[in-house]
Amino acid sequence: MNQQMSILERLWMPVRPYLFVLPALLVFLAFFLYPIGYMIYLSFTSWNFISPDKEFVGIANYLELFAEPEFHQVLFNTFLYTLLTVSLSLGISLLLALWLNRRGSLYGIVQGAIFSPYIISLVSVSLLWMWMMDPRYGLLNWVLNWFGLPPSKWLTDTDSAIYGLILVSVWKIVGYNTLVFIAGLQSIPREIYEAAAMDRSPVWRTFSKITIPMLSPTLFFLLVINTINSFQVFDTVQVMTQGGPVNSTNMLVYYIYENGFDFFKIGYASAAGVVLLLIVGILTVFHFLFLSKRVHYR
Amino acid sequence: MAEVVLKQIVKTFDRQTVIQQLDLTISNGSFTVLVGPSGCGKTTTLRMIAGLETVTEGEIWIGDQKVNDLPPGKRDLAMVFQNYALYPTMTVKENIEFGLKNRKVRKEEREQLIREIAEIVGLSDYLQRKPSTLSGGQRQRVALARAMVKKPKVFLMDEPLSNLDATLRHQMRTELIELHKQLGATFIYVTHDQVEAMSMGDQIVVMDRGRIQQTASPMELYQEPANRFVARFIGTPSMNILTLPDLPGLQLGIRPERVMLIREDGSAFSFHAEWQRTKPDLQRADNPPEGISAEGVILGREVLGAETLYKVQTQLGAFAVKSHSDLLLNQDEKVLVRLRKQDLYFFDAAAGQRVREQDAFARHALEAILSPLTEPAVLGVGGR
Ligand SMILES: Nc1ncnc2c1ncn2[C@@H]1O[C@H](COP(=O)(O)OP(=O)(O)OP(=O)(O)O)[C@@H](O)[C@H]1O
Ligand SMILES: [Mg+2]
Repeated sequence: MNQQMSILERLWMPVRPYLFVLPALLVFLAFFLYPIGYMIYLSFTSWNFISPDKEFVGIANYLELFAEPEFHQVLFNTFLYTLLTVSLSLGISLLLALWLNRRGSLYGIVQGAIFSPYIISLVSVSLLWMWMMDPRYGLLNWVLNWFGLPPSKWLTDTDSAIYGLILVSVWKIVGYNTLVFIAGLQSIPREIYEAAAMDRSPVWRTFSKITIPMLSPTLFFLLVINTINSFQVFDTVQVMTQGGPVNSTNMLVYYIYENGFDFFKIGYASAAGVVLLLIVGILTVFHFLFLSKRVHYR
Repeated sequence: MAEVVLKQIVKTFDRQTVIQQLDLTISNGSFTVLVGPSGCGKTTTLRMIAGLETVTEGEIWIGDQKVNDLPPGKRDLAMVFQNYALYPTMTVKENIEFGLKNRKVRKEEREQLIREIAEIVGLSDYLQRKPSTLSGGQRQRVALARAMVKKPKVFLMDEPLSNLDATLRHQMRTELIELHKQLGATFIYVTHDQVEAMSMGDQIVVMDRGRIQQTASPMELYQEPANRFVARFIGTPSMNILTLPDLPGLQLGIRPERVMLIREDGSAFSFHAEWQRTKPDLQRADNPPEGISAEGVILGREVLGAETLYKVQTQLGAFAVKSHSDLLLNQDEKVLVRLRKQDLYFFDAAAGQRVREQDAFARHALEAILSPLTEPAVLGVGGR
């Protein structure tokens, strides 16, 4: 067969696979690698977005960033927000999924109901919750009052504002997580549970030794996705608090936006962007290195 | 001890009744096989015994205890599932150990038991492996070990060999029979394969459409089927069923391996040895054996090596015939067909129930279809 190949064919064969991936490669280069590279470049310059020349300043932007107490606050807020959003939404979704993973129209309706926030625009969601969290006329304080609890100032208080944002984001992603968990639960063969019943396994043990390990790929997927998404929270901050009061809800992406497009400190904002990229990258690598070993793929 | 008794069991799934008035006694230490075509309710019956499916009506007794409301884990039985249902995230050892841990067996004792069982099923080298890295046969053994380690009174097995290749299935069949002898426990085994049922069971329960058709030993099932369904279900190829105009309301059955074919030149083909033995009788002119004679032509053949299957067309209808002769008959060749009276079965044409020979004679003038089977010229020549 080799002898019958013409010279043209012989030249063509090794090139062919690269030609097939070329379009994807070009898109990747143009829309992923180039912007990231450009951002890294900008982070070493001082630029106000308008002037034609960009002055190279070395690591000055980074030094300024790490010396800035406001930035420390922003980092702390982002980590707190991510930790609570991810753990609460995963925990609540798992419980909901265990409850909803059965046949019957009631369960279908509830599934649909808790999924619906996911398809509503985050801006509308934010406005809706702002209205509900209004300290004087809002529904939430009315409910607290009804239970005889003291009212909360919600988004207007530096202590509670970030929890208001966490509440909204948990409310928004729980439906999606639940649906993915239900899909995961349904892929566990029924016979395995039957075998466990024949083995006299108590409920909690079936859950911890069978359900959780079998669900680990789903759990891992949601953990990574939710972490990355939470780190990049922006819309709710922008609409509901603009980072306030007193910077108490300012988080990384909003901070970058603020510095770049309100204060026109493009170099400084780019440096913060690089930090965000590094944190998300490190977290993801960490997830894959240390947690994926415990994930059981079938 | 661990006799399993089903009394008047009915099972209904959303208004569709799949098991109807089932009565069955499985004696202690027996190897009972539930066999029947797909969808007849074997798995459902087994799962009701296991407690994985509720009973709509009737009672299930294990030993001297009514177990209708007992959860599966409390019934002192173990099940081997068709697809093994091993815990994929656990190692082989953990799989076997899981049931013991739940029973709060002490660690040293657990280790001891696992070592013993692993030895018996030949898994000692695989204890630290995950099921996904094992072959089908090895997984099968893990499933068995997981069941055995609990030392149950009753083993339930749902088509445990159906995912294995022919060689391995054969080997595991022998091993299971061996195991049953060793353990002395009651085995309840589900299969849709009648050969497997015949070779393994000491009591066979033939089911069809949610009803038990017959419960008997393998030999009895073969020789004395209670009805047309059992007669056709046991044995390959299936028993030939003939409807003759002379016998309204009756049907005739004859097993393919009991039909004799004779070549035009007189050499005998199928079922030859048996005929040789009756030859002295045939040659006695005063009282020759009776039977049915017909002329036929070979429609087709399947050569299987040790045996050959023929399709023969006669004026009585088309027949399947099994021959053990090394010589082959060709397509379109003319043959003589001989059926002995003692090899014939009679069935009620409508209900399919077996009709005993004397009753068949009472209902019809069977003499009309039977004639003496003397054919000295032919039988004198003989076959190979
Ligand atoms: N959970 C269920 N819901 C509704 N119908 C069912 C259910 N399980 C079984 N059936 C019905 O009950 C009948 C008997 O099923 P069963 O699984 O017992 O058959 P089987 O004899 O084991 O067949 P096979 O040899 O194919 O495994 C079938 O008609 C099946 O459709
Ligand atoms: Mg079945």
